[in-house]
Amino acid sequence: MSVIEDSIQPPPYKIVLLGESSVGKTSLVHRFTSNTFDVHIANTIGAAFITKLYTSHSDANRKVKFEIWDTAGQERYRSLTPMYYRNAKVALICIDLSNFESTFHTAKYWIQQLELNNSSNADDKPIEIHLIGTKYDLVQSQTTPKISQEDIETKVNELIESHGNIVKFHTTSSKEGTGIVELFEDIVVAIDDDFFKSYYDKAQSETDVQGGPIGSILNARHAATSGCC
Amino acid sequence: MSNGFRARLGSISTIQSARSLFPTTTVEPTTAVTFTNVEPNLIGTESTYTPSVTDSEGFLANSGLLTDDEVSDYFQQPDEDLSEMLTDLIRHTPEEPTSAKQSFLDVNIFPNPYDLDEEEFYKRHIEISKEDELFHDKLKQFFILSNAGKPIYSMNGSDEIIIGYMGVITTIISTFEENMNEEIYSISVGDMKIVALNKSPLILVSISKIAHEQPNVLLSQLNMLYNYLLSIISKPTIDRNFHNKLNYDLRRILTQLDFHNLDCLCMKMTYGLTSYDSFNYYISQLLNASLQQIKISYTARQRLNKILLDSKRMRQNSDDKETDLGADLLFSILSVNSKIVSFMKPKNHNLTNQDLTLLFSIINSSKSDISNDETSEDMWFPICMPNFNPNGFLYVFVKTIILQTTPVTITLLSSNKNSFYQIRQISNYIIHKLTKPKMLSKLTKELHESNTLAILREVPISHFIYKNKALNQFVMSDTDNSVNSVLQLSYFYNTLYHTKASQMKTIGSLNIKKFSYTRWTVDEAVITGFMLSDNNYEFYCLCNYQINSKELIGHCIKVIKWCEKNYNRLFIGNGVSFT
Repeated sequence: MSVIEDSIQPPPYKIVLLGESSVGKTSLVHRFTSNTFDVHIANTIGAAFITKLYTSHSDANRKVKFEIWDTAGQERYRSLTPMYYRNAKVALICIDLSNFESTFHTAKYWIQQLELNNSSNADDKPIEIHLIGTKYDLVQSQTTPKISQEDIETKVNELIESHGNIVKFHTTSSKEGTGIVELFEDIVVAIDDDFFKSYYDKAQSETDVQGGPIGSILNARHAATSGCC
Repeated sequence: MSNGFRARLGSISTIQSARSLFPTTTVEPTTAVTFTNVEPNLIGTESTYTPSVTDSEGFLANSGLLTDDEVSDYFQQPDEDLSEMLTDLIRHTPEEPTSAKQSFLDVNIFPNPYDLDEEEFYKRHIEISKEDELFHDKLKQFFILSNAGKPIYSMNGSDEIIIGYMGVITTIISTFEENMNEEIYSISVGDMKIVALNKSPLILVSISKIAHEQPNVLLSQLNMLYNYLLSIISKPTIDRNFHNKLNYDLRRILTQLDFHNLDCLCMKMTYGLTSYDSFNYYISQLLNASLQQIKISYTARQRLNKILLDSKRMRQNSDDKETDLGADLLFSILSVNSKIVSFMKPKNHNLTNQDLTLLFSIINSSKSDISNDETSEDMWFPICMPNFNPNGFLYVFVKTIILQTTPVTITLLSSNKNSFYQIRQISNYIIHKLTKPKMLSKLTKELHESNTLAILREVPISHFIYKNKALNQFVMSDTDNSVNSVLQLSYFYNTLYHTKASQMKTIGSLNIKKFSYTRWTVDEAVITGFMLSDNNYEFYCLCNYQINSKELIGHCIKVIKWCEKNYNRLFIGNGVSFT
C-alpha cells in the first residue's frame, strides 16, 4: 500500500479469551505470541493483556496489532470481565476437548453473557464468537474417551446453529502447536476491508492535524512533564 | 523434583563458598574454652557466650572476647578514612577452603531419627506432600478450617487424614471460648508446639516440631496465611458467605493457584524455601516484616521517583477533552526481584510492609516467562490489601520489562477496576522514560552492580544483614539459593536473632548497644554468628571460620559504618508522596 500506511501503526484489533478455568486459554495465547508451551503453567490471576503484531500470510496488507485479553476462568473474577469484552471484536470461547461436558457448559454461559452485552450495545458491531476446542492432543491419546468425536461435533454444531454470532469451531493443540496460527489467520482474513480503510483514513487525517496518534501521546507526555514543578 | 533437588544439593556451599578467602585452618583458636565435643549443637548460649553485664569481666578476660570497654573503643574511633584503616585487614591471597562443604543435616537443625541422607530427609520430613503416607513425618503442619470444622486448607495430607483433627481442633477452641471466655493461643507438648489463631469464622492452626520455631513466630505465620485469604477474597466476602450458611465451603471460591500460593507461603515462612525470593522473605519476616532494599545511587533513585510523580500527573487530550490519566492511581512501585527501587504513595496513606510482601508474593506466583518487548504481558487483577482496607479491593497493573538483563517490574495500584487503559498509558510513559538511552545505561549499570555489596570484598564476613530500625528496611548479602544453604542460613539467623543479647556498658548515653555472639562447630568447621544493635540499627553476620572476636567486631563495625555512610544508596526511606 502507500508509504503513509507503513509509517502508521497497524490498527489495534481486540480479542478476548473466555472459558472455564484450566481449559488452556493462556497456553493458546503463549503458543500464538511466543511459540512456547509449558505444561506447568500457573493459573492466571485476574487477566493478562498481550499485544502482538500480526501480518496475514496470504495478504501482506492485512496487518493488525492484536490486543488480546487472556482472562482468568475462575468465578470470583467474573465481575471484572465486562471491561475485557467491551469494544472487543472477537471472543474466543475455549472448550477443553478432554473434559468436554463441564467446559462446554461454561462456554454456553459465556455465549449468553456476550449476547446480553451485544444487545445492550446496539450501536457497536456485535462480538464475533469463535469456539475453540483445546487440548486435541489429549483426545487423540485417550483410549476410551468419555465422549466420542461425533457427539462433540453434534453438540457444537447444534450450538453454532442456534447462535448467530458464532462464526466457526476450531480444533487446536497448544502443546503440538496445531490449529493456532490458522485460527488467527482466519480472524485477520475475515476482517472487513472497511475496517482497515476507515482506520487509515482517520489516522491520516490526524497525522495532518497534529502528528498522528503517536503525536497525541507525546503531547500528553509533554503535558505531564511540563506540569511538574 | 527429585532431580532438581539433587542438582541443587550438588552445588551446596552454604556460606563457605560465599567467602573462600579464609581457610579455616589458619585461624587460631580464640577462646580459652575449647570445644572437644564436636556435637554440632548450638554452643553459644546465654550463660556461656552472652555474658550479662555483671559477670562479664571474668569471662571475657578468660575467653579473649572483647571487653565492653574495648568494644566501646571501636565506636569512639574517629571517622578516619576507612579505606586506610582497612588495608591491613585485607588479605590478598585467596585460598580454597580446606574443609568439605557441610550438609544441613550435620548442623542438627532437625532431628534425623531414621538417619536419612539429605534428599531422603527432605522428601520425608520437609517437602509438602498431600499423600497420607508421610503425613506424620512432616515437621510442620498448617491447617485452615471453618468454625464448623470444615477443612479449607492443609499443608500436608488428604482430607481423609485431616478431617479427624479438624473435629479435635474446633472442640478445643470452642471449649476455651465458652468455658473460660478466653482464646486459646499456644500449647507445647514435648518438642511439639501448637499455635491457633481464631479469626471467626475461620480458624488457623500451626503445628511445629522444629525446635527453633517460637510460638510468636508461628502466630505471625498464621496471620500471614490469614492475610493471604483476605487479600484474594476480602473480609466482607468471607463474612457474607459464612453468615448465609454456617457450613459454607470456602474452597469453592479458592483456585488451584491459591492452594499453590498457600503451599509456597508455608514453605517460605517455615524454611525460606523454595523460590528465588523465599529466603529474602524468610529474613524479612524474621526481622519483623522488614523490607529488603537494593543498592542504587541517590540521584538515580531521585530520578526514578520523579518519573513516578510525573506519570501520576499525566493528562491526555482527545476530542477536546482533557482526561486525567492518573486520577485513580494510588501507589506506584518499581522493583527488581521483589526489591523496591522506587515508590510513590498518596501523602496521607501508605502500604504496610506486610501488605507489600503479600503483594509481591502474589505477583511472583503468576509470573510467566518474560518474552521480548513486543509480546510482553500486562497483568491486571483485584487485590485486597488487608492493612490498607480490609473491606475493599484495589486493582493492580503489573508489567515486567527487561533492561539489558535486569528485570524491572512496574506495579501500579488503582482504586478503579475500569481504569486499566489509563493505567497502561501511565506504564507506557514510565517505560518510555526508563528506556531513554541515558537513563537506561545509568540504571542498568547500577542495577548490575547492586548485586554485590562492595564492602564484602573488604571484610572476611561471609554473610550479613543490616537493618535500619526506624525505616524497618534491611540490606543483606547475596545468598546462594540452594536448599542446603537456605536451611542453614535461616537456622543460623533464627538462632542468632533469638539468642539473648547482652547490653554494653554505656555511661551517660541513651543509645543502648547490645550484642550477642554464637558459635556452631560442625565437624571440622566453625561458624561464628554475631549480632550488634543500638537504637538505630540491628546488624547480624556470619563468619565461616573461627575468627578472633576482636577482629570480627572490627570488621562488623566497618560494615556498619559503610552502611551508615551509604544510607541514601541503600535505603528507599518513605519514597515520594503526591498530594
